[in-house]
Amino acid sequence: MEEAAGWLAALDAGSAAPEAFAQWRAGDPRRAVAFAQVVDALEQVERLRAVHEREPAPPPRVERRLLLRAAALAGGASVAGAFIAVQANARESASTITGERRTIILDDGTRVHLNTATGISWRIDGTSRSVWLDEGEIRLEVKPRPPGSGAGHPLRLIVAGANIRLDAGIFNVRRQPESVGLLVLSGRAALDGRRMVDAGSLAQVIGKSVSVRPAETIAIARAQSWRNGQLVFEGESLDFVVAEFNRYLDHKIVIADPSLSRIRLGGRFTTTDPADLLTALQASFGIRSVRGDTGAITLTTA
Amino acid sequence: MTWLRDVDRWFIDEVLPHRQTFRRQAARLVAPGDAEDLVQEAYARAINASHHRDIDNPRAFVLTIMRNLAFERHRRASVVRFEHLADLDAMDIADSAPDQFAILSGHLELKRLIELMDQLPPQPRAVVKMRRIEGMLPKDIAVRLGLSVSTVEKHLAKGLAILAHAMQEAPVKADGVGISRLWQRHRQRSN
Repeated sequence: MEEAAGWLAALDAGSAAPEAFAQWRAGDPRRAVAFAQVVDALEQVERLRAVHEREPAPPPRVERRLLLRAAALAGGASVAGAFIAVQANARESASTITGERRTIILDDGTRVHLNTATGISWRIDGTSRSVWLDEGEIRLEVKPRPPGSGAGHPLRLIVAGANIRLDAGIFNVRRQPESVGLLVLSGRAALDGRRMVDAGSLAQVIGKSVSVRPAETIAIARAQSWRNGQLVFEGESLDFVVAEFNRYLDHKIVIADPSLSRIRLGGRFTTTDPADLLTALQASFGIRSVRGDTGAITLTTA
Repeated sequence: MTWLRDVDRWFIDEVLPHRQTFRRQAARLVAPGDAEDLVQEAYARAINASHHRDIDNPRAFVLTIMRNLAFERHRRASVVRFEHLADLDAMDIADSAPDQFAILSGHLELKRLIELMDQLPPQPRAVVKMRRIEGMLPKDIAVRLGLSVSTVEKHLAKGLAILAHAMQEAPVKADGVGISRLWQRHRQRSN
């Protein structure tokens, strides 16, 4: 900009050769842009001529105070029909369909959030409390047992043959075809009565093998977000992002062009509705989404 | 100004008035730190347009360039964050011509322009005023201020560079009277 202004002033004073200027400008379109912007500034100044003689009386100050309306937070997750389970000796069960979330409060006060396509069952009696995760993902907010009712009994969680004991605390558990992931957000868990998992740790159970390591920030953010209907990504491949979205969708998204799978993206989607994602993909990458006869959404370039 | 090509005139008259729209759009397309660069790159493409007089809607033309540049950048980027795309209502590349108000609002508000002038260092301000407002020739300004012509030239360049920079960044008020309308009003009165 400084360079362009120098040329303009020199041309204006007649001290620059037009040919030299033309050569400079032709060297880079950005120079032409800067020069045009400087000329524009000059022309706008010229408009002040109209008000130059007498400085305009300051216009009556009618300062409109814009009252920014406090942005109403989109209400929390709409929980479809939380209900109080009645005590019974038989196992009780609850489930969600694809795209649904619900919260169950067990008889001991433990709160269970069910994510999409999830099934649990449980049994609570005077001496023990057990929860089975049959499929999907849950968040368990385990209450301590009230004093005098068999204190010290942890909650027993059974997932795909793994036996997990949960003290009071908050746990995110996800069952996948090949593995089980247990993230301890607070409190403590014991795997098969031996392996301790502390708050902030993630345990992966694959068959008989167990690995415990500190949870990544993104894993914790993801566990905290789904019950608010949010999906969080931090540089994952489009493959992964689409797979996560598909858990919530009846009509799945399909990546038709394998070259797209490598795209990495991040962000927080405020809804499990894929419309935002599809719009963002279109806006940022020019990726088209086509809905087929069956309802499936296909992603293609161009 | 003989040193302006037709494409420069077109750029100043048809493209620059929409600079606010471009900046807003850029802020939605790329990360905040990259927005200004995206605008400038799109400008550079636009000013190289070979058939600029055939472009029906220069605003939509530049918006489309910006979008395509953003695609290219995103495809090259290692990770693309979507936070800034949450509000995507701006993706209507708006093929319709902007209304008169939108054109007016592309001009700097008069009050803001006076402020910008007042913020210039004293000598560049004096030179800019004498040259462009009072219409004095550089050699006459040099005599009046007791400076050499080349020093006058430097002050003019400095003042214009500062103004041009500030204008790319100056917020344009959504309401209020645009400068061109004020200018027209004054001109009508003085005629």
